Amino acid sequence: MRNLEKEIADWRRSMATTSGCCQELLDELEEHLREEIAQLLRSGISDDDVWQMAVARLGAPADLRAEFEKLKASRRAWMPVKIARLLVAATGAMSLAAALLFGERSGILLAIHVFCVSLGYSMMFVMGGLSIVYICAHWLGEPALNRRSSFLRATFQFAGISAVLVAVGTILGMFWAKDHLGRYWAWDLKETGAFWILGCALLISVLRWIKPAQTFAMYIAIAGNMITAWGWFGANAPASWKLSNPFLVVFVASQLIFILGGAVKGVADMKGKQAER
Amino acid sequence: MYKGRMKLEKELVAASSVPLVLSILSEAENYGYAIIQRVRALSEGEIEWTDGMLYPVLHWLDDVGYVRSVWRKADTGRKRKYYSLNPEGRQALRQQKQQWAAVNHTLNQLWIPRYA
Repeated sequence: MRNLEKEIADWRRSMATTSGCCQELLDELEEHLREEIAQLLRSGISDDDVWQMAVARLGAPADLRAEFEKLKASRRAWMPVKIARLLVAATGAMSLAAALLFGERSGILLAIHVFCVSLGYSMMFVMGGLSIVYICAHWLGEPALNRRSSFLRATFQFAGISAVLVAVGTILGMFWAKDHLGRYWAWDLKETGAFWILGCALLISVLRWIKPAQTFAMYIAIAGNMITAWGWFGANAPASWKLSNPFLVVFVASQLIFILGGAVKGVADMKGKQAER
Repeated sequence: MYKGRMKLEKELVAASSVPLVLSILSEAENYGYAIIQRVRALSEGEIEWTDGMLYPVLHWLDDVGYVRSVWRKADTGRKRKYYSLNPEGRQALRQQKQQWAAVNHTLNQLWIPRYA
């Protein structure tokens, strides 16, 4: 009589090394195997045959690994996401050039600060722009499975990288401020802007792990456009324009229209689903 | 992925796996083994998946936010992972239904018997 518990333990070890599955997935597959074995035993099949049949039905570890790899490969990036990544790369190159220019005149600290803040803030705009494209695509027709997946993946990646860059840039800015202005932090417009931009990037990053709330990432990303525009360009505008720069006011209004458009579409979709039920 | 009386094309089985899983989960929360049994029963044995191949699909649907999963104690006393459909998953299912209905309608137009 076959020792099924030993067989299952050996199978699990073999599956772990060949398929590359994580512990949680192995737990799930083991539970599946046990149910299959129980079902086959109930139908009167012998222990020897039950084991062979159950394992054959589950599939070979190498085949399972290949299926997971296929799914990874099928996650092709949506075209706007590809464009967004190119924009980020181009902005990175320009930020580096700007940083080298600052570095020559004002030192390495400011150079790295300029690089981090420029790229981090630019990525916020890219995220917001991508969210606007997604909302427009949604208005034109329901986004395909892969598009939504591609959009969310890119948004969370940009948010994470932007949060790190803005945090590093802000900390370096604090040390520069201590050296040149005699204090680390004074909640001036630039510093307040950096605080809110960092908060926005962190909030979007956190949504990656809150699946039911992931859709809100796009609204926060568009709000991030408004905050970044004010924190970056508003803060650097002439004193008389800081709070009421007309271009900024128009830009903020346009972003609010996109947020409203996305919310209206979302509510209309929900009402449509309820009517169908 | 398929073993049984009628050998369905690999690509057809792969393409139908997502709408099948979403449709089954739209009825109620369910778990991997039961989903496979349901497909087997509904297709009267015509569609038989290699059981392990369901899990990449389930994990992908969980990853993109169409389903959510939770571990719970089963009546066997062991922990079991249950899946249920999210609002985004219902939206995706509606899209799948529209696409399959369009394909089905087109093929039916071509395959209607023509009488002399």
